[in-house]
Amino acid sequence: MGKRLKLPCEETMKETMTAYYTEAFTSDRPKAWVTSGAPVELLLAADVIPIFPENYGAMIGAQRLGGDLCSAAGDLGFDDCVCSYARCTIASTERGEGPLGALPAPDLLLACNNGCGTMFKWYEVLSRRFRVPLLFFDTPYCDGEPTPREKEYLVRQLERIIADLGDILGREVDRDRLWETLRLSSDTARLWTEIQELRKARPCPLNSPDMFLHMALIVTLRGTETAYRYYQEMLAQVRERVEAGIGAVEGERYRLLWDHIPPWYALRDFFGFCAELGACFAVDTYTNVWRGEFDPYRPLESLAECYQMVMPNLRLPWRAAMYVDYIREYAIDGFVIHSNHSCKSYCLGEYEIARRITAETGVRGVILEADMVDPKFYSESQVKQMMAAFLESLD
Amino acid sequence: MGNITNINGVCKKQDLTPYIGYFCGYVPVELIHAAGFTPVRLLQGPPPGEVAGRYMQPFCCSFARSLLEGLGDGTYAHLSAVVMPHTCDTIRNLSDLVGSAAPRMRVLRLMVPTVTHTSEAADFMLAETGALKEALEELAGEEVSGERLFQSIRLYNRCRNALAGLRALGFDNRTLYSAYLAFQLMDPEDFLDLMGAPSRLSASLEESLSPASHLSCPQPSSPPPPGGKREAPRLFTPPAYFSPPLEGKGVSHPAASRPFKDPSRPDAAGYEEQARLAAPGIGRIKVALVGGPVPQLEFFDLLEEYGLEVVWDDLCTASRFAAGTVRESGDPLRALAERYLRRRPCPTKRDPDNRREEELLAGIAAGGARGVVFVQQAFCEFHSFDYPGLKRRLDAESIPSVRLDLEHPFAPTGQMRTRLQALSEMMSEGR
Repeated sequence: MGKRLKLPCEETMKETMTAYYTEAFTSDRPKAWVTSGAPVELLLAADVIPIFPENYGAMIGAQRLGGDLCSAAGDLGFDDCVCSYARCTIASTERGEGPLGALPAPDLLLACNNGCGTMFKWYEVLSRRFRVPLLFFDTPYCDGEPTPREKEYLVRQLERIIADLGDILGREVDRDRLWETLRLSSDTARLWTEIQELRKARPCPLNSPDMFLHMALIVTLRGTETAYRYYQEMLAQVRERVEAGIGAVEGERYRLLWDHIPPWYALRDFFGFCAELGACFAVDTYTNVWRGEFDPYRPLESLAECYQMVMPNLRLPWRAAMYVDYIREYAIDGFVIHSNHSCKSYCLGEYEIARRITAETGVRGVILEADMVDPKFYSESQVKQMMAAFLESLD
Repeated sequence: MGNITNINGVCKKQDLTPYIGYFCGYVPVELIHAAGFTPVRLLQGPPPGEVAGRYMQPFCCSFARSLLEGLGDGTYAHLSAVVMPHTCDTIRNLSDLVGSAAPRMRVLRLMVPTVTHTSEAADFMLAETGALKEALEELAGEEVSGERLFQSIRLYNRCRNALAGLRALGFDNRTLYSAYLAFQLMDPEDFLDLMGAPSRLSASLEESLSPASHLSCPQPSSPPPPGGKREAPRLFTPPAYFSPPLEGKGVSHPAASRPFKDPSRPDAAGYEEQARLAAPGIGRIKVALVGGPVPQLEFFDLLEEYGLEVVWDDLCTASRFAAGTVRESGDPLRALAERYLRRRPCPTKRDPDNRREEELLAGIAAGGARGVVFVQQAFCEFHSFDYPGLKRRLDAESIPSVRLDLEHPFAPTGQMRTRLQALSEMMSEGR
């Protein structure tokens, strides 16, 4: 199995995430469970600790606990068509099991449906389970950019969320702190974007599995000084790699695009297998979602625009155009689309996007059937056979 | 503007047919009607095949897959447009896939807010409804006046009231749900005529239940007579949509051969007597029915087989869509937006007060239901999220329930039969 070339900053990341979870478990400060695409900056400005069940779902998947927990969710009545992040974390809560046991109970919830409608359904279940308020940000499906009526709807919702947050906490959200949080969040996203841009180098300095690990902070700690400093450190190290001509995959032979959340339980196995065959995933659609920047001088308007315009919430022509740009800008030889069984929102349209990529660029791809956490939809031998044949066809 | 033809009293461009398809119960049909079109709900296309397989994963519901199949294979080619709301993730994405699978089909989008209880959601719904009105006006080639909109609102309100009255009279499952489906497939005036004219209703229902019947819309290749009104179909359905009762199961449909009148009409004398004659025999077990779209009448026959009488429902294609009239005063557009936003919620909408659960329990109590049948399209994530909570609440109240997952084409599986049998026995024991 191809060994992953680690950046020195990975140690910092591990320490940072350990400290983050330790605080989440031990602090007396209010805690909110929040979806990965929700405006977490509002929580940070209100001095609330954000906890991301999706991040925990990824940990459950990576530690191969997803099969048991998804099965336990079935016993609770949640069938296989329900998002496996939701299933495994709901079961983790009920059984007190998981990499760190059950996550600390929330005082409130914040959800946004820019990734999928699953989010608010999942958080409604949580709201009833924990008997805590759910703040919800409804982001209409976006046709390139918000229409004036959508923008008004989005901004008024943010105003309501800020007011409700103040009512729940018994104190007003600090607008100066919100300004500072937005600035930090933007600066961090800019660093993340620069890192992504460096992946255009040949050989590519970072393979997608590297990004899946390093994204932990842009998801959970964006808007904090900690995340900003971390990505400064990471950017410097990636630059060094590029300058030294060091690739993430030894003997890089194929440059690929990865689409979707990875099957976390097969992260090492699948990407290691591909690396052995000389395939480096030089770009992926998933980790590029967290590129959004804000204008702190138009806080609510830019929050509205940024969170509505994330990739999974864009209409298909915009998404397809984005993929085509990636193929060209990152000099991609082939693409791999993960048709993720429990994620309809992100998946529906993949077949058409694949055809459009090929029609516009001539680059071909394969579609891999699996699930992000539940391993029962993944066939290791079939996937490897398919990848080997596909890579051979690229020669 | 080109040549125009008078259709249903409204001038429209000649290349348009009078039909607009719509995808879900959050589409304000009154607005489509006021623009001079007959709104026709797309309830079930051909079985998913090549088109669906080309664009959609197998883990998407067969309901959506069959509609895309119908759009792609030309089944719905005679529609002037389709209105696609933002409801579940699948239908949301489908609105884009239609552009590829049926590039000549005009798609009008309606962004229904996920939140239904806030002032900003109400204003956004109003703005979106206004945008849909503009799109329809552009298509029709003329403005929709407030008075015209009120006319359509009043007409649909009469249909909704007629349907509400129908349930109270205790018709068998198939007759009742045939009426609900017909309401979504027909011009409202034709629907009211059918409800108020006993011989036509029974003839139409008999016809619709016949294996030989394929009541479908006139195709564009058969233009209306010069200067005349286009002949509207009595039931707009894709071929083989209404299918015969399950063979050999002895299901009878007494209402189909009985006189029948619209209770909202002044000449409804004797209606109760007709309903008494039409009502199924005593001894059936009352259940509530909860779920998504159920366009397959065979499903209701299956319930009959096990002696289950539906006394209350929360179905996408029945009460959830039909119940609740539109205010007939003030600003008609706002009245429409309010009605559709505040209607009984479906699982794709935020439900902060747990209305679905409360209304289920209230419906069970009001209808005297002894159990609940959950019925949903297989792979419907939104219903799957709601199911455990609803089931838990029923268990706490000692109300038995079963869940059945539907696929298209419908086939009553052994598992379905076992579950219904078990439910029937549980409820019989509890008598």
